[in-house]
Amino acid sequence: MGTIEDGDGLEPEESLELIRESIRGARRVHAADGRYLVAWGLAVLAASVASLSLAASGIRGPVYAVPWALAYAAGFIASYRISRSGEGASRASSPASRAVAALWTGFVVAAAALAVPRIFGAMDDASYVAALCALLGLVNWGSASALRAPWFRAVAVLWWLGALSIPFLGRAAALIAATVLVLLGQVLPGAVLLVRDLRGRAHA
Amino acid sequence: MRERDYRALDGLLHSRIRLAVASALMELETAEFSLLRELTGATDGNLSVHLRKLEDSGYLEVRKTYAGRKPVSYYSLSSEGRTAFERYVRALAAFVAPAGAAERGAAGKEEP
Repeated sequence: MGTIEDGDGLEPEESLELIRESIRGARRVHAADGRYLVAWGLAVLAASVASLSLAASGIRGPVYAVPWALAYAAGFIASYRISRSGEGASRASSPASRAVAALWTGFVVAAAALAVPRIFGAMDDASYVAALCALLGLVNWGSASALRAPWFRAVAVLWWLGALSIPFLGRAAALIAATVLVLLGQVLPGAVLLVRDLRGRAHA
Repeated sequence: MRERDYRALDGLLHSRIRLAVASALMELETAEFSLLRELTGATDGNLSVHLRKLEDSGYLEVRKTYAGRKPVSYYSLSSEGRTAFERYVRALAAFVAPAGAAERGAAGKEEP
């Protein structure tokens, strides 16, 4: 053991408080991840509801891609704004957060790429949604490892269950299932991360 | 009030900056220099000195790489550092938890 230097005068109670503050500060580095999840979740949720409305109205064809294009645009704008915010700026210094950002960016690119065959009719709705669910499972599993949040793995499993079940559902049921999955697997975990951050701030 | 004997505390961790670094790394696993500077509020020079001490003691592992042409150092606690941190927290808890009881006990013994 070394000698006590600038610890002289540091009482054990102060040390414990310093540890708590430092851990809270470190957790705040991941706070922006909750905002990304909520932003993307709400964008995809809106697109799912719009798709559901179009399906219910019997509308098919390229117009079906409009809500998804808008959702991706809204998601990218929201991500950009978050990345420019104070917390977003500090998250750039955390390798874990950068890994999460890279995973989600990869997901959006893959989802947009998959949308092309869907728009041109080479892929049906159920296959498209099932592929997205499988991808979201992978991204959430990766996020769980990067953020050291084991409960996120349950979210990943939920998405994979969705990927397995959606091909067996009808078109409308698949869209409803996807919407519910977005709520449970995207917006809810994001909200949990945000609440955890807000609690940390309240105690700070 | 009894005088506290701080020799039970690991001197390498019983320092504001080093303790802040170790606590943050327990949560983050890995962090680069700029993030540790942001989290501790220390100056570059001061932080470097403390990081070097932790590194020399084997508590810290450093991985140096490049982001483009810019050198970047990633810091993480070694298993020895994690063990030391956990031991330090247990020692702190032992100081804090029974302090009141010990003092009350000592006071009680003094009473006739």
